[in-house]
Amino acid sequence: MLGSKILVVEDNPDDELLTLRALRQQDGGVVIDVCRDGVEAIDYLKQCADDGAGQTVGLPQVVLLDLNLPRISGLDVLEWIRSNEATRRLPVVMLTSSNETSDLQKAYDRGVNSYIRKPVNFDDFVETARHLGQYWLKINETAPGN
Amino acid sequence: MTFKGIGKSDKNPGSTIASRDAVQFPGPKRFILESLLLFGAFCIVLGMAFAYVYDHALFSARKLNEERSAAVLETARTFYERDILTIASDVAYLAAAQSTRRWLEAPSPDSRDGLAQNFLAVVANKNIYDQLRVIDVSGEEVVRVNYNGGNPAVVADPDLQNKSDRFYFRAALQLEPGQSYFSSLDLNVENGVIETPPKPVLRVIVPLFDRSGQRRGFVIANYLGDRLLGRLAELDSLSPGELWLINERGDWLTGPGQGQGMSRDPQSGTDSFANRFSFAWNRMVDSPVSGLIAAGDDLIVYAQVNSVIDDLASTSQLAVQPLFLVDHVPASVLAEARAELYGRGGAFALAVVLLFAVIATTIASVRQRARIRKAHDAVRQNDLLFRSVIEAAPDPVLVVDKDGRIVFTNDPVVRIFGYEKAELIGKPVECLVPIEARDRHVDYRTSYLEKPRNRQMGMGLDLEAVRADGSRVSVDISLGYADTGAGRMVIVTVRDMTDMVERGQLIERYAERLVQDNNTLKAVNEELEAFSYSISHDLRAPLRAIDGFSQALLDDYGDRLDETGRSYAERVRKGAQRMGELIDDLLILSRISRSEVRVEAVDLSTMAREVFAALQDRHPSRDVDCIVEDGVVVMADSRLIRIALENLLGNAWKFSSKTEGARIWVGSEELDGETAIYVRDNGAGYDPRYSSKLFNAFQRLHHAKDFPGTGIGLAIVQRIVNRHGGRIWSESKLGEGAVFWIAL
Repeated sequence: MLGSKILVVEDNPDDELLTLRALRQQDGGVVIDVCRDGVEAIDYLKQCADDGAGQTVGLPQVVLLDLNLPRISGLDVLEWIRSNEATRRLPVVMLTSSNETSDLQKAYDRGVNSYIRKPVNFDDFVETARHLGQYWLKINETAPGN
Repeated sequence: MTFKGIGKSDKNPGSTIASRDAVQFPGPKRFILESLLLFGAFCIVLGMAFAYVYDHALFSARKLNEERSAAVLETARTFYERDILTIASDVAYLAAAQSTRRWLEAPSPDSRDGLAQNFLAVVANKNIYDQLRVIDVSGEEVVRVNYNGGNPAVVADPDLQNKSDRFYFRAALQLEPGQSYFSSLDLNVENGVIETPPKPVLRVIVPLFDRSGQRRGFVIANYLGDRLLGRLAELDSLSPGELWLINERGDWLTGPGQGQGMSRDPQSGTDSFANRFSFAWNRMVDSPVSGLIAAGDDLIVYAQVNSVIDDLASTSQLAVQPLFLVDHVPASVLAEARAELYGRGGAFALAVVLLFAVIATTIASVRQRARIRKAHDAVRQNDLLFRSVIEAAPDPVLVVDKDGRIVFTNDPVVRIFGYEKAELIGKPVECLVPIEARDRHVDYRTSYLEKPRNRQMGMGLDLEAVRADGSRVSVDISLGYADTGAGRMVIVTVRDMTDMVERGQLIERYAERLVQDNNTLKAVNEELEAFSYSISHDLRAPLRAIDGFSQALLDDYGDRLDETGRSYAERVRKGAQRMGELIDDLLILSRISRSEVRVEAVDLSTMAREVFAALQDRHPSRDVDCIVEDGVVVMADSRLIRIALENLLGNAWKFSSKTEGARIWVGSEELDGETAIYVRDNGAGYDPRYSSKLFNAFQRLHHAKDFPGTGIGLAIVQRIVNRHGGRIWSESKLGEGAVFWIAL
């Protein structure tokens, strides 16, 4: 898990804090980067892919993306990720409050890898975060070049 | 043409408006046929009567002829026989007379003269003798007295002749005493030729014997045939036919068309009675006494007249030849009678036939008039019916003739147009049409009459009519037509559309409002959706924060809180979690309300078993007897019906958790013609007093500590059932389980 990196795109500071708290209850060594809106997330990913000076920071193993974001929405970010050559194979997990059918459909239509609804119960949230880390950082093999 | 009110009978059938087609009017055919039939029947009766009368008359004529013939014949026969008897008696007298005996005993000129005088006296007195003679055995005439046409005289001696060569002399020689000889009545032959004029002669001969029995001569009497012929001629004029005398050979002694007397030689003639009337002659030979022969219209009556001689001639040694009296009534006599009958009867019959013709046509015309009257009555009845029907019609009805004039109408017209009925009758129907449409209406009316079709109400034309006061009224009209005795009639039914127009406007307003409301509703729905979305996201986020930071508080600062503080933090978390559940339930409810329903055949039995299996998985310690009826299929949205089933079975599962031997039944039943599916359990049940609240969202009838839950389940089930257009109801008693029925 060393060198593992997760990008959390979350505009709500409470949710950000709780998400980080839940994720950090996992085994240590995970780098968690946080972007607070869609523009920031796209800039971050661009930078990871190519900083312009030949120094790539490297893409995260997984992006936890909220749907409702200021400026550019989560779905637009997802669309950008899938349309960008460097990021199109990047695993993206929707982590959101909505379980509206339309949101689910739109997310999957744009090629999301997983869709998780944030539980109210923090215990459940922790459990979910644990599962997430377990799966995407340990079990799942990411596409080469990421 | 004007119309009178109903109930008044109208003498002129032309002014009836009822269809005459419905009434059968008697045509001239019937009259002619009936006349002919009657006339024919009369004529047949007449013909039969005429035939009977004719037949009877002809029969009478025939009978009369027969009787007259028979009478004439009888008279002739009597006359002839009386003469024969007279002759027989005279000859016998002469043979035995004193003068004759004296001459026989002592022939002398004196005694001969005495004899002659006696003979002369007889000839003179009797007028039936042509000659009376005495001939001696050598054939010499001894005495001859000639009748001389009524001047009898004794023939002088030099004129006496020898008759020994005569056939009668030879016959006389054979006579014994007491015998006599009767010759046939025949034509006299003198010196080998028939004497002319023909002279029929009958000779009677009696032999004379003297006292010693010596044959001395003969008394010969020549019967005066003319006397007989004269008599026959007299009788002939009395007879309907011709009276003939026929000898034994079938020759005419007096014949047809010859008047009296024998004008021809019967022996040489080929035209004999026997030839010409062979049919009769054969009968006469077979049955010679008398008879009557009818051959067609020919009638022959005959009688044999020599039979009297037969009686006398027991003394005669020679067979007496038969002599017939024949009265022939030729067919022409009857034909005349026929012709007369035809003539008279025909004239009479013609008169009667003419009379019959008059009677037959009179009877037929009386009957025809009765029929026509009846037909007119029927038309009047129909007319009355027609008027009554129109009068009784609830809508205003106008009957318009081919000229566009109103001929009949009813009371509703008064109500709608404000005209009195009498005012409208006879007016052009255009008086009810708005002024600007009148010309057009005349055209419409004309073309309609040419090609009429029934026009229904509500053809979408906004029509207006004019009332008596000039105001306008919205109407709809229907048109019908009838071809009546008074020409084609158009039946106009008018409907006041004022209400309908107002109603239509109202409906339009409602429709507008409905569209507005619908738009509002859509907006509300969108708002609601946005609201749900907002709840889903925005409301849940703070809850997560509450719960999460409460936990963070416990995790990070738990050691600085006492027991109470920590329990408060726990309560904060419980409250937040509870609220999260409620929000989730609300979201489900809202989503069900918004979701599309796709109906398909759903195998409810299989679905129920799957749900039970899931429940058993979740609660492995439970031992519930689940009884699912096989083959329960419903038409429903399978996703929604599964949610409903999960809730119902979940409830049954939950509320039977405290029951020993828990049982759950799933199946279907026919209830009042509809199929209802049921879920029944033997669990806790509920107090039926609260059953009305059962399906309200978040309504709970049990304490959460007994049976946990948000109370949203049955609300969801009901929402699903409602989305299918079905209904749900339930029965229960506290502690006795519950049953839920769903009829989709």
